[in-house]
Amino acid sequence: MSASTSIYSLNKTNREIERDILSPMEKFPGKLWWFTFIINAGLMLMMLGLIGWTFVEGLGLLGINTPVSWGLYIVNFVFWVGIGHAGTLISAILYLFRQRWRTTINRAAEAMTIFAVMTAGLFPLIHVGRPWMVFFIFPYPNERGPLWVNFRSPLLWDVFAISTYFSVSLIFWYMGLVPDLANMRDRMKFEHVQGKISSFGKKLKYAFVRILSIGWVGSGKTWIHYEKMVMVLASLATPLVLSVHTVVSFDFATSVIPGWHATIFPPYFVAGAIYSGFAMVMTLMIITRKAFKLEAYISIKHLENMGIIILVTGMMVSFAYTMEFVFAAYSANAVEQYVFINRLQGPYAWAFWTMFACNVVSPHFMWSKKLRTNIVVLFIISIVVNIGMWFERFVIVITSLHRDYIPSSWEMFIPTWVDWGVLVGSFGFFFFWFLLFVRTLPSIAIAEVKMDEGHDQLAKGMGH
Amino acid sequence: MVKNKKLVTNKTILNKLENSINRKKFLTAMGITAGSASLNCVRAPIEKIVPYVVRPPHVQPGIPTYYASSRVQSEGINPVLVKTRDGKPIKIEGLDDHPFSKGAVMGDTYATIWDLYDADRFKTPLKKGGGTYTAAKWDDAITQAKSLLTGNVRVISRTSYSPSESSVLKKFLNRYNAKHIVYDPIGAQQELATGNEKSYGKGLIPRYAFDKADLIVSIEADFLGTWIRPDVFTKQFSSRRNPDKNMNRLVVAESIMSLTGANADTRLAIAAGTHVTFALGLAKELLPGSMLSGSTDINKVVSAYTPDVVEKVTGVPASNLQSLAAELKAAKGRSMVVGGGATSRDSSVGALQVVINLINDILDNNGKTIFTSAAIKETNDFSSQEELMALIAEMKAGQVDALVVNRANPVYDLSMAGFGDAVKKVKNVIFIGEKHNDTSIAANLILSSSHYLESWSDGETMGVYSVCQPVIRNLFDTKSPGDILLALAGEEGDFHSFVKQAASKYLGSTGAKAWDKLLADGYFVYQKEANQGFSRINPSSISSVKAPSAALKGYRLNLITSVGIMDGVNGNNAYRQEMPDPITKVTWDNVLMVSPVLAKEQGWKTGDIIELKGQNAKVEVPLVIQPGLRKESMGLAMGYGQYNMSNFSEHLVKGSLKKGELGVNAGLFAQVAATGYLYSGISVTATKVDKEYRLGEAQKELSQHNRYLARVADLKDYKKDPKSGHFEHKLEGKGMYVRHPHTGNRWLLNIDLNKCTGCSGCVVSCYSENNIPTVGREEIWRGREMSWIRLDRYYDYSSEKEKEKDVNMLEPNVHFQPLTCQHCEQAPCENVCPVAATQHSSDGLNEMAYNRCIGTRYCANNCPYKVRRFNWFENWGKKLKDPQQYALNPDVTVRSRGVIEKCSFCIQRIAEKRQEARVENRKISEEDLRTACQQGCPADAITFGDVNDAKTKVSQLEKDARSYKIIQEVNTMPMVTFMSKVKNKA
Repeated sequence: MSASTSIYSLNKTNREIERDILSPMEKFPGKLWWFTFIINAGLMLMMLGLIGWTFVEGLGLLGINTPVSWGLYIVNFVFWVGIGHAGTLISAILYLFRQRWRTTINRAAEAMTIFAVMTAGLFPLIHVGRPWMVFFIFPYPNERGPLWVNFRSPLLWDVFAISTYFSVSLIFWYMGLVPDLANMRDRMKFEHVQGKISSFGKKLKYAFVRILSIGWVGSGKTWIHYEKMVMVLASLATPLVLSVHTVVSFDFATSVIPGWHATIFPPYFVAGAIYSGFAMVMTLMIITRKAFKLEAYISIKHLENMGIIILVTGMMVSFAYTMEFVFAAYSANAVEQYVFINRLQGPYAWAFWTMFACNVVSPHFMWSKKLRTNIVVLFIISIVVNIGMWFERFVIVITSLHRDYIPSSWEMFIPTWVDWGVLVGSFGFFFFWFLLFVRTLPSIAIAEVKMDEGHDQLAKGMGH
Repeated sequence: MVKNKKLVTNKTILNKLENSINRKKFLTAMGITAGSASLNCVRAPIEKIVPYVVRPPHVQPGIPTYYASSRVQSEGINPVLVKTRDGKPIKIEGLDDHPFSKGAVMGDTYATIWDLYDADRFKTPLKKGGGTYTAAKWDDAITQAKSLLTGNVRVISRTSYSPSESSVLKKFLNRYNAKHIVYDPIGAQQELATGNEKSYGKGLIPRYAFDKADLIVSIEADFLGTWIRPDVFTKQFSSRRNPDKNMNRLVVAESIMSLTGANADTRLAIAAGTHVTFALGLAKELLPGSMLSGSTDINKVVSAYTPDVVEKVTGVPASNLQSLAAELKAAKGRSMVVGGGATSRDSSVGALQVVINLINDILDNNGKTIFTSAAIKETNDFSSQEELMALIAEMKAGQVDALVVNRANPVYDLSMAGFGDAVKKVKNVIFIGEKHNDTSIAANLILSSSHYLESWSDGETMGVYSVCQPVIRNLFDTKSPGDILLALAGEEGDFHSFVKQAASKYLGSTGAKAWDKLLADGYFVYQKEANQGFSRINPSSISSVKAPSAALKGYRLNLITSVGIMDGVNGNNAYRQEMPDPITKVTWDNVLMVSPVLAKEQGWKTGDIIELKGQNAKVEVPLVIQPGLRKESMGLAMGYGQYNMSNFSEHLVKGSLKKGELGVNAGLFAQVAATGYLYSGISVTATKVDKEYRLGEAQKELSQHNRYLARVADLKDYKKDPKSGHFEHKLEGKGMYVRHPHTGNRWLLNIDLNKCTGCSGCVVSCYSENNIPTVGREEIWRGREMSWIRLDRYYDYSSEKEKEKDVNMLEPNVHFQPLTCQHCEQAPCENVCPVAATQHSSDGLNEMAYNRCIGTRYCANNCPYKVRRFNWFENWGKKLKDPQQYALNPDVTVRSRGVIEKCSFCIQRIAEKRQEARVENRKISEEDLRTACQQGCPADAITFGDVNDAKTKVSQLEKDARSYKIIQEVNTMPMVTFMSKVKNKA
């Protein structure tokens, strides 16, 4: 591996790297953090309150109705699952492809995955009519016959796909954290020896890092095992990255509803997920590097690479959009054709054109080197893409349902403020966890950065 | 809980007492103990339901008992079969062997079960004192009523078909020397009776035989929906909608789209208020060459109405009028022309009917399709306009000492005549009725009357004497209307024996056997149908008829009656309100029907609020774009906007309905003339108001977008090729999974769209059978109606060319399609449910396990027919107010919040019949087993049965050339077949 593949150069000692990355964890949070944290926690509480209200009163508080039985909850679900793609992609697939630039962003991206999947996982649970009976969905031995779940249902596949993805991602993330946790433990041990750990909070923290670093010693043998394990986990996680959104797309693709029933859905959904996932990683990274002064670690080159991925996946998604129309035109099926004409001209045309502008038009700014190295442009585009991807799911779920086979049943879906409140609250929920994460765990993989740095310096030394 | 608390208190006191007891403390303790002991001993509430000590042999718990009875109302008699379970009536069904109804009952009558259990009913007689009503005892109430009935006594009521009630009323009138005023809120009956009186000197409503007419022409008469006897007429009409045999032809000339117009083979849209012009024009075309052609009286009147004049006034092309006349001439003696209804109510009562009579006379239809023997109504008992106006004048002058309102709502019905102001000047008002309305709140004394399911009564019409028998003891402290009048008249005995006595005259026997048979059958034919018609028309009767001979300018409003609400007398019923109007598909509101061309010109859209101004009325009302209307014609349904109708919205539906928010009172637009009320062609102005409104539309789309859901063929094409209008998808049989063998029964529902009129009787019958909740206007606006079977309605054209020709949408094909769960063999709903809550049964049903359902609603999304309903809120529970819970069918689960529900093909009925068949060791016979919608269809459009048995009617119909299934391309393999509509275009 040549040093030229490395897209960042630190010229920092290990101690400096540790200090840069771990300092947010070792300081009391500042005003800005508290401000954003309280806002997001408030939004989360609002969401929980709204969910509680729908538990008591019923789902009628939402805007859904008979043709549009799935509304913003499912839109949000697909959106958040999509967001949860980039993390594991970066840490697993890019790992296998030896893309070394992933090292500084993989930790935060993985954390984002975990929290995005957690957020996504909320929606299927709260959108059911009788949430207190939701355990029926798990195949467990029971006294009702035993009554088994329906293995033909894509919703059940969802349960398996998402729970598997979530657990593998969590393990992968945690395993990656172990050397860094040990690093934190060791730094605290030094303080401990000096008798500087006196407050209860610090004691608790020390206990946690000691337990969580599961006796990591960092010997050569440990590292050999560790590298093997990462390789195995990465290989395990790679198909999952592709399978999760494939299975989510089956919810739609295996149905009979025009606009849903399409064979192109699995790759289209995966591309869309990576697209939105990278956009979200970009948004978060731009904020994080700025807030924690990590510009040296997350360089403009990183962002540029992500910009290129956004351009590529954006074009894949655009291709899928086009193909949907081609299929409809070719199908000679009047109902199918109407659904797509309705997307362009119907009452929800505004949603389609918003999606079109955000997802199809905006990534093409990335062709320009000048633009894709401009932080402000990248930040705006990353947000625009995520808005577009949310609308993509809105278009798929809502416009397909609201006018399907029987014209007598056609209805409009008008979201209530509960729908919107839960959408906003889901961001609060996500950021609540993310903000906790950046303050408690190293958001850049220290060990890997050190390794890269070592490689770099070795290469430099050899070059001389 | 209270009990336990007391004991604890006693114990603690006693513990304390142990230490220091003296006489005073001992007595205190005694006192407390004695006191608390007596507190604990409150008697348990008395249970009114007691088990039979000796069970009558026919009563079995859990097994329904059926009683033949009749609903007696001022519109006629509806013979019914009442299903009772454990002493509670739960379902109204048609009386199949009844000579004239043949089991036909419409939605309005099915909904009466909820009238019975209406929590808003009067629980006792009420006395007014100091502005509020207090409960009274019957003895006191009757004594008080008698004391109030002095001086100038007037009785106002609607017409009656009950001979017993009429004779009791006569006794009452005689005793108090009272004057009786009978009015007709809609005007259809009065129009007929008065018109016939003018033409023939006989004020009767004849018997119509729609099944005997090959060509039916209706001018504004909505005989399939609201006119005179829609149930009977629907039965007769649909019996001739058989394209393989003697299919009839229906031509309708009307201004506002009605159910009849929607079913017409040819519909001629006329401008509002020009129906008499049309009739006269038709008469003029028919007159030459007929026996009456020499009459100068007639010629003088009709000569002005040449086809060109008619075209100018009504908008109907002269050629259409002429070809209709030619058709009628060719069908002499085999045709029938009818006219009337609220839409045609004229300032001169009977004007239209006189012309209709003339036409039928010319066509020689009297005695061939229209009969005077066994007539619908024998006498014209309606008070004339002069008498009615005199009463109001008298009341206003304070000359009426006591007014008895006998089950009527004149304050609302005669609001345009100022009855509301007049009634305030009456010293004493006695109201007899079941619940509050706009009139009852003016009463000093309310005598609470019983529901017809709790009362004895009788009725006579079409030569049949029908009996109305109680099937449940009075739920509240009420008396049957007959008993109330008897008591007021000071007569001894009860109304039961009175009815018995009256019946004996018809039966020709006083014996118990004849009476028992009457009760078992529910009816007795006392007059055989004979082919007797009216005598010749009196030509001078027509000379007073006037009709516009120049086009009416400006917006013209017609007051119409809607199928669900009619004149509004039974409006306090969530099920009538929730039944979507068959034409507009609007619930919980009356709407201004506006032509598409006017709406386009003005930039109005459905749901906009229009300020409608008439001579003395101004309302804000939502509009609906209604195809089939001439540009400036507008329609507004009556029966809404009753301010004091009880507030059922509180407990049966979710939404923001408040008192007086149920539509607007269209009657206020009616114009009062010396000879009648003008309901048609009223000049109004309309302007849009900027207001948001959540209109409860059950269907928003007008067209079926060439999806071949409801299919239609022309009769001529059908004769050439029975598959005309069809196409087939050949997908059946393919699929991923192993198919069900279905070796035993296999159920199939067949719906003949050619017979279906769209009356929505099936919808209400299904609501009643299957405990379907009502949800209210706001929820329906959201798209959350709960109907298991719904009536889809489309306006379409046979070809693009026709569509372009009719840009104003004057003559679209109107389709009705009852849609229910298709019980697909390869049901898309079944394989997507993650918890397997919806499954296929061995007899081909798609079943719902409510207990298992967690409410993912995936099934509802994946249903191409969109027939699955979700319980968005708790629809029963606390919303039920005593005694509404008794209306629920105990055989059908009441669904909780958060589960999906849908049509089960009335699985409870299948199960019942299966058990019976098993006990008797036989197969389920087709005659036994009928679904609620099938039973609820007055047109016999629905057939249900075992398709595995080749002999059943349903398996024969399934093979009929007209039969098809919808959305076959999805390979769902539905178990509902439709039979295409065939239009008999000339």
